[in-house]
Amino acid sequence: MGAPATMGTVTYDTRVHWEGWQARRLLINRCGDCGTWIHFPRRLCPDCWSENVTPEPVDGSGRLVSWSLPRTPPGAPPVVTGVVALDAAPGARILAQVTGVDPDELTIGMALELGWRDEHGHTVPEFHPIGASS
Amino acid sequence: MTAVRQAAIVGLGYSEFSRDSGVGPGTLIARAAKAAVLDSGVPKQDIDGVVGVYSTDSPTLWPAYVVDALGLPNVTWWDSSSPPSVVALTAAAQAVVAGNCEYAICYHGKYRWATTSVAGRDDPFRQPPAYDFDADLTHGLVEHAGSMLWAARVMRQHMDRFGSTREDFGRIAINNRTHAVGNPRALFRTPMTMDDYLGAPMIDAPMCLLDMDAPLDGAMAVIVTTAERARDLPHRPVVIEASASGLPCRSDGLLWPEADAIAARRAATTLFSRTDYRPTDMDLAYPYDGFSVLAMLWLEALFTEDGGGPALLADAWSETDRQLRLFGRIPVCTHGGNLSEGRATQGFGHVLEAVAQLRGTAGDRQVPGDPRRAVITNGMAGTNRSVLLAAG
Repeated sequence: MGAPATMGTVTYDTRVHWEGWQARRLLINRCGDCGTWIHFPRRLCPDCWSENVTPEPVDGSGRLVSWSLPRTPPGAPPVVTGVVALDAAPGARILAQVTGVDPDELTIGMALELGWRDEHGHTVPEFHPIGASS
Repeated sequence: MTAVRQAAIVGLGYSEFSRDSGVGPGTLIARAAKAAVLDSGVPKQDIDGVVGVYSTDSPTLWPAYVVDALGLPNVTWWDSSSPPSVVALTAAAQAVVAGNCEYAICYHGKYRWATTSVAGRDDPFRQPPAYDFDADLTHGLVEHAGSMLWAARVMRQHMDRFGSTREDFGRIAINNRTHAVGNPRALFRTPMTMDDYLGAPMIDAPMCLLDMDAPLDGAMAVIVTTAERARDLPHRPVVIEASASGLPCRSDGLLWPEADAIAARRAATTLFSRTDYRPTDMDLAYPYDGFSVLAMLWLEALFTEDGGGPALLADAWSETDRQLRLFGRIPVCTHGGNLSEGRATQGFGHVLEAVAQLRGTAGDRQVPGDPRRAVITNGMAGTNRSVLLAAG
């Protein structure tokens, strides 16, 4: 169950989301009382303070909020670190790599869709332009 | 709007700043604290408070360590804070104003641990004590959560929203380097041109090597007491006129790159609501510059509207002097900032430089015209504190 070092620590509050990733399902917490989407995962709704919060599967279309292009070793493929706003969960954003696109073609606000990739024996989400494969 | 009692900074101390000090972090802190006590003229036995920054990458620096290291016999108050360092400064100020102690040492140090530098990683004497470096990663499910990547995304968002360019950010880096030429403590003192800046390697585009500070060993300390007691000490006191923070509802800058500008605006507005001075009454400005984009956001929050930074800087820029003078008058980061002094300072260098300028002990760097007021901003979205300092 352990996550690789780069993934941070999976806790009681994030375990179900992590297990969802391993099954290629993106789960985002939502307040059952006021409807607020909550990510990163928390059990208490920041708007109405309800604890009637459950992880819901969402489809992964979204928009690029911002991104960076960290230096990679010579010859290695580019890595784009993105913040993606999820269309199906307004107000929720996640961090993920953006793949399947020349970094020069990236624009803030561009439409993206969810993909998955296996890394260090785990499955993690990523995003790519609509129609592009990751 | 003057509080009944105010706190004043009455002593300054530094350790050496270096990339290989050859000593442990506690030694650096002890040297800085000793120097600050000696500079203040307060007898060792009168020190009754110790307040310091206790952070995940400076894990041996509890206040009790400093009490032990300096053999302080009469300490009856202590406190500690997370970074940024101005949080510890205001904790010390509140302690003396509340009467919990009379003379407090306030310190900050950084060390090139294995987790903060590649050379440190390979040095057997720099392996940090065990702690959970990922303690706050309830983000949990994130990748590449490092601060560098966050700051680069903030910078890209600013460029996209407001049309700011690398040259705009370059002015901040060049200004700071120009001042650092006169600062013997600074890690980087070679004069820098715009060509140097634009030619620097990209580390995390759009952020280049010269947009970020560098790991360093070093420590600083100040002595804090009440403004009343400060009058009996050798140096001209520097009073903490006002302090403020601004935490936006969504202070998680990893997911909300816009949070830093919201935080800076809230902090700056609150700071100046607590004083009769206006931002343009400042004689010196010390925007936090761990990344150049943060200095841009702080300058906008203090002096103009969101996105107005590039125009503000263009107006303030002297190509001949390669430095900024806001409104033709206010110099910025007269010591060179974090970008030049290195990450050991993490904003505390701003405080010590401002105090030296306001009390007239900045030596070759002394700004002429008897500067009286300085604004210091420290930190970013979820972790910021700003102060307004005034010559007593």
